[in-house]
Amino acid sequence: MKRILIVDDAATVRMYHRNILESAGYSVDEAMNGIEAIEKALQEAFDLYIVDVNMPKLDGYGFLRELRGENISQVPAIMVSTEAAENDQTAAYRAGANGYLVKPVKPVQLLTHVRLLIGETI
Amino acid sequence: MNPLLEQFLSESREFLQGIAEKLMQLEDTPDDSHLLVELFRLVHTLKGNSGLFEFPEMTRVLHAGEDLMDAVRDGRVAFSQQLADQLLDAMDFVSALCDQIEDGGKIEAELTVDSYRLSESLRALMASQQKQAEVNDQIEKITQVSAEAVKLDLSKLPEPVRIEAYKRTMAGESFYWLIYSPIETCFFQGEDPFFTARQTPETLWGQITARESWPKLSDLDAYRCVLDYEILTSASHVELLEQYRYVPDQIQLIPVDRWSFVIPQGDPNGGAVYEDFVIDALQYLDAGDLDSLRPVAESMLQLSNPDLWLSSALRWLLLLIDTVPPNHQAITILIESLRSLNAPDWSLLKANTNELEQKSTVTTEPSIPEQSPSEPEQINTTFIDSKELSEEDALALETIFAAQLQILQIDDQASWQFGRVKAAAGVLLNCCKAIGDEKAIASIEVAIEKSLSSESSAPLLAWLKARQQTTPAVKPAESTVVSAELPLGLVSLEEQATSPEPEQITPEIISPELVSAEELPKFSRRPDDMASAKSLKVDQSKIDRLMNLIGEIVVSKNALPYLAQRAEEQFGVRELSREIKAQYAVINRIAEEMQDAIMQVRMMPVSFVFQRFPRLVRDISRKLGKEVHLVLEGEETEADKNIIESLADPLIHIVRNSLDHGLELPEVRRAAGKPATGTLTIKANQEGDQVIIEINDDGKGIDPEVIKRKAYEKNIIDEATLERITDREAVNLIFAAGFSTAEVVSDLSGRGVGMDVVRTAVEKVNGTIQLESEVGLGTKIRISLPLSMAVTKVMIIESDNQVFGLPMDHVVEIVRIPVSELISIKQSKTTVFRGKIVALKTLNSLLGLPTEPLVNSDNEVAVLIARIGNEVMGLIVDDFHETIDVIQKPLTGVLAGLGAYSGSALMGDGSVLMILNVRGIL
Repeated sequence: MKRILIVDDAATVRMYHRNILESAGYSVDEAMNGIEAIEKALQEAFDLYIVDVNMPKLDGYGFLRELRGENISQVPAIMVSTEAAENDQTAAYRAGANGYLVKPVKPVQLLTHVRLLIGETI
Repeated sequence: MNPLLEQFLSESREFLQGIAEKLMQLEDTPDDSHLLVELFRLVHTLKGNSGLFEFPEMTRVLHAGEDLMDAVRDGRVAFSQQLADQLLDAMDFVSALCDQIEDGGKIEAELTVDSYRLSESLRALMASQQKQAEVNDQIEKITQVSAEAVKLDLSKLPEPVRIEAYKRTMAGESFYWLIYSPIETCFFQGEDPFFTARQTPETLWGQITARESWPKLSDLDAYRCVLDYEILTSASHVELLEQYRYVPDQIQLIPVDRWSFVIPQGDPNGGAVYEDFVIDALQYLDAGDLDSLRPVAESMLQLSNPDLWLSSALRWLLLLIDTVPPNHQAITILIESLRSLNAPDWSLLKANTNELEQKSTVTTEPSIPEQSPSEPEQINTTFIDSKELSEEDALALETIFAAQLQILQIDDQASWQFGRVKAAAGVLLNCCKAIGDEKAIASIEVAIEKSLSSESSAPLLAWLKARQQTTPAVKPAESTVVSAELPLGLVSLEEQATSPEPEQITPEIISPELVSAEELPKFSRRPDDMASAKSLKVDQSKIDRLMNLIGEIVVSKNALPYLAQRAEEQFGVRELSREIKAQYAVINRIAEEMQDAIMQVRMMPVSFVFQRFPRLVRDISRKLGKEVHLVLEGEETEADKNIIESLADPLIHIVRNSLDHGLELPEVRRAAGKPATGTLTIKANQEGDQVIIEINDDGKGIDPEVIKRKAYEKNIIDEATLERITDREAVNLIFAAGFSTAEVVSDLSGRGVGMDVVRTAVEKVNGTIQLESEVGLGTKIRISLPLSMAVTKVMIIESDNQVFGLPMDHVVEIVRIPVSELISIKQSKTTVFRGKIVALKTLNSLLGLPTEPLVNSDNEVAVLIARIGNEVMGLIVDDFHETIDVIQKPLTGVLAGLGAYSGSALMGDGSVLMILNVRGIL
């Protein structure tokens, strides 16, 4: 079973994403901020990260940079943000995200992205 | 309520609390950039959460708040108290919304207007032109929204005006019905509603009405605006918003349909239209022969009295006939109305014209609706040869490829660049796998290998570009920007076939329906995830029940020692008795631990009550123009939930009193040689099985002389008491019923209820309250409360061969006093006890028992010295027994009316102990 780490400080958002992903048969873990996410990523090899931008302690950009730079994990990452602007998106890619979705994310949209990025037959 | 919504509400409340705290902290340290960032993040996250649901009001206000905080964080706007006030208001609004969502799940319409107002005022603080435009936009929307709710009746307009307006609509003009309701206090805000209304551009007609009937001239308040303005104007929406830009919330703009002008009016009686005319007219109409219809109608009009309803209808008919191009359907409707003498029913016609208009917009502007569905179709046919993809999958795939292209092109030499490339490579491979394109998988694997060995993204870029040339249908520029609307829009387009409403994420839809629509199993957590939940919410009634049951165990275990005693004394089996006693010790320990554990569950920190004080103190002190520094200590101190909850109101009352009457204005303080900022300290700590709350202020204190005089005037104390009462006792008189020192009843405290309410509330949970004050230096109020109300320690006393319980809280001491030392003053008995005169009462006479109290062999009576509030009294009983822990049960049914008892308790031997209500009998 594919493992996905949801990194978001808002419990509601985590629950929302978890519901969608678990219903589709993924196994989900959660982290509340970038630091916690790094700790989890060091312990376990996830198949995908879904990362919020704004978080306390370490934000999404910082987490992704750390993930890519320290060679912790090079598996795909989707950044979710409330901003739709193009430079926000570029900033996400620059930090190391592979996909960018605007909140609130539709279930179908999230699942399509996840399947493609994880490489599961759609 | 679905769990996601529940989670949202509870998290929102946490956030709101956090935001309020941060704002309060920021007022002390406005330059703390850390706090600002944190505050922004909280508002931002809250807004993001609200976006998961369909709560536009909440999102709107939070969005404005977020933008404002963003501006503050970036230093574009300075943090000010006004700004904090506005934000706090906004958060109060959001929390009110949360409450409403929790209660009914629906948000009332008026709150929509409030949300616009709030977000507007938040944005006004940013004072940016661009933002203002956005607000105008929003206002535009709301004024239009509200338009639908109002049913427009233009019959009050004179016919010539309506004819004129109708003609002008035929000439291509459009009209708005503008309702301007200035607020009553508008004159004080420098507004001139009459002038504003008069200046309305393109006014065709207007009227001013009074909202209420005019009072007598002597009673008229000329400074109150009670006028409503209604104006028919052909000005554009933009012009009107510009004219009313300062009062956008006070106007309503209703677009006027041309047909609502066409209302025949006049005397309905007399001059019946001949059936013949109607039949002729309809025949002409069917034949399209309007030229023949016109003279018939004209002659009918000449024959009729012009004041009649019919004449009016005929005039309209002629107008309609002359309209180019003539609307046959409209004419038919009007003729039908001539026959029935009812007002024409334009709704039929309107439905059709709307349809027509919609069709015409579709044909003239085909760009938006037609393009999007065709685009994915192209994708579908052109670029995937190995597998059929659904539209959204195809679009997502292209989006992801475009994103990887962008990622691979970034050449910033960042330390994580290589990792980034690796991740992108992985994504490309995964995507190829996902679509099952074997050829692509093979080629990408080669490219990845090259890329990794050369540590360069070039081979991957080459692969992507080559791939794009083979699939030219998708323009990367369009697909790189993944907006939520793009795939979303596709979904809703598909669904339009079945349901006309575009799908919205509403809390109801989120869980089962939406999922089943996508053929997914129901949302549920796997069992292994359940284990990770560290806290759970339990209904309070369940805990209460558990507590009652444990209480019963605690009491019923007390039967075991009796049993042991009987085994030994009656049956003479000492061995068994010892075993029972040993077993009792075990059960006793477990029961006590259980009781302790359940108490822990019910324990809450006092911060639950304290956390509202920063805001309260801030708001009140600002209102009073006082400077107050609030210090909270011992917030982690815990007590039973009921105790904590009962503490809230008295504490608020005390704090208000301190702010209102205790702490002085800054100038007064300075004159008295004190720092301008007063200090209010609220401290909680635990002493034994009591929780002590102390409220200290360094205000002007309470003058005992004033209190004494007041108390005497109000007959609370008599002259003798006035003479001998100590200052300390005097200040505590403010807790006496009917005492309130405030000369003027103020808005904040002293609503005539006074401190006796506080005392009552505290005593209700078996607490006590004491006050110390030094004139000029401040006041200290000390509240002691039991940790828990569940178990009461009572002393068993005996009188007239009956036993009663008396709560230990009231017992000061028990003594035996020789009969010779009892002194009778008038009718009442007293004695001198430890140098003080103590009034004595006999329990028997208080309970209406006829027997005299027992006197022991040494000629002494048993006296229980009891404390009630701050008073001490003696209660003469027959004998004292041990003290025990009991679970007190309130009396129910008819017994509930007995004031002498506060409840009953079950004893270890199965008998019932009545617990005396000391206050009730003394």
